[in-house]
Amino acid sequence: MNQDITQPIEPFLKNLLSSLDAQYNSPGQSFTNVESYATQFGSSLKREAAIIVNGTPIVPSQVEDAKLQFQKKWLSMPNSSHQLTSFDCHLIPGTNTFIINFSARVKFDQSGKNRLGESADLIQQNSIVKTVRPIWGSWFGVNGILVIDSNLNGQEIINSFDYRFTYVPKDTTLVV
Amino acid sequence: SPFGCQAMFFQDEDIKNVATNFVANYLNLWDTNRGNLMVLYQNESQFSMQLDTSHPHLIEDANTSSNIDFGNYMPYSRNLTRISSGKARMSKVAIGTEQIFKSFQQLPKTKHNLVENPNSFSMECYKYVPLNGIVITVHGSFEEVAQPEIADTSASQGSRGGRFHSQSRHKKPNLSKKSFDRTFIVLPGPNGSMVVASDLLLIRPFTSEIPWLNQAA
Repeated sequence: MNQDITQPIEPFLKNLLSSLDAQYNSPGQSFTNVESYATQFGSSLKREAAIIVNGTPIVPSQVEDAKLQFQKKWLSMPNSSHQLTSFDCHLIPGTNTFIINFSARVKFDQSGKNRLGESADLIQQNSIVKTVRPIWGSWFGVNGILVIDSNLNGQEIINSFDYRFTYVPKDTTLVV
Repeated sequence: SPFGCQAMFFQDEDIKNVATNFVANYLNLWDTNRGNLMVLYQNESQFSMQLDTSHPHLIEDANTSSNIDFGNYMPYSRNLTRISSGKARMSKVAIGTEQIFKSFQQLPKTKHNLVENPNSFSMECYKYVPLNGIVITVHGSFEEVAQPEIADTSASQGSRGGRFHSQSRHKKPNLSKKSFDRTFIVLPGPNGSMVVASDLLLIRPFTSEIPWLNQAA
């Protein structure tokens, strides 16, 4: 037990959060189609992962596994921006799994547009410039619990994903 | 949001019974006699505490709770985003009953209002497949009612973290409310007993504003 095996976890967590924050069209990155965009949200989730968001489980169906349902729901959220503020983890002997407890803060785009840049407003200014610059709201608090495979080189390594808002600011347009 | 929101999630009825009993008894003993919890831990059990001082919270709460003092937690925090040395990262996990009990004694004595105010807590509980156990996560808050049994004696804290300790090196930290998230992996032990394989405690600023109370699902 002389080697610190927890080093790769921080980059892993940051990658996971930035996959949730990816924008469809941004100066740095753009996706060829909606599917390629949506399927990169939480791409390190296993298809059969147990996924719970704010105490609500995602129930897999015959046609759509939990991962795909999560990705579709996340697609309908406004753009987000996460910041990892703390994490801790234990390797559970004999199981090749880590349990991770992390906390983060997240802010959401308040412009009224979804991740694809569409708004529900009936009358829209058919506008001049298509700047999709988000208007960030106040910080939410998040606590996350993950059980992941200890071999972090795999593509899909998350066995369970539990994401819970611990604090929701009062001036938000997002209804929890 | 498209996900909905509820305070409690239990994967099935069995898990619900086991987990709610576990948490109620655990927090009661945590508040009254932490020594009695040690039957739950074994040689390979792990415990660590992390501090997230920057976690979002309702600002009014910070003004009412005699300012936010994390002095009792700072020396032991295993917030791995803030510790780079491999040796320090490993030394902040307590392994086995003896080390874990010492860690428990280094934390302030508490009161969780689980009976009086159950709505201020939320939980998620689901299977931990590799060892046929369950993952139990509790979110909530507590009051600090007394200083820890074992005080931090490491003098180096004062010189290293001058920003936090220079004024209060000889002063005990203020007691106040804190919010927390705590995750256990609980396994079935011999004769119907239970074993805590992993115990991860996260401490953050107190907030009275709790999202799971405003359910719009």
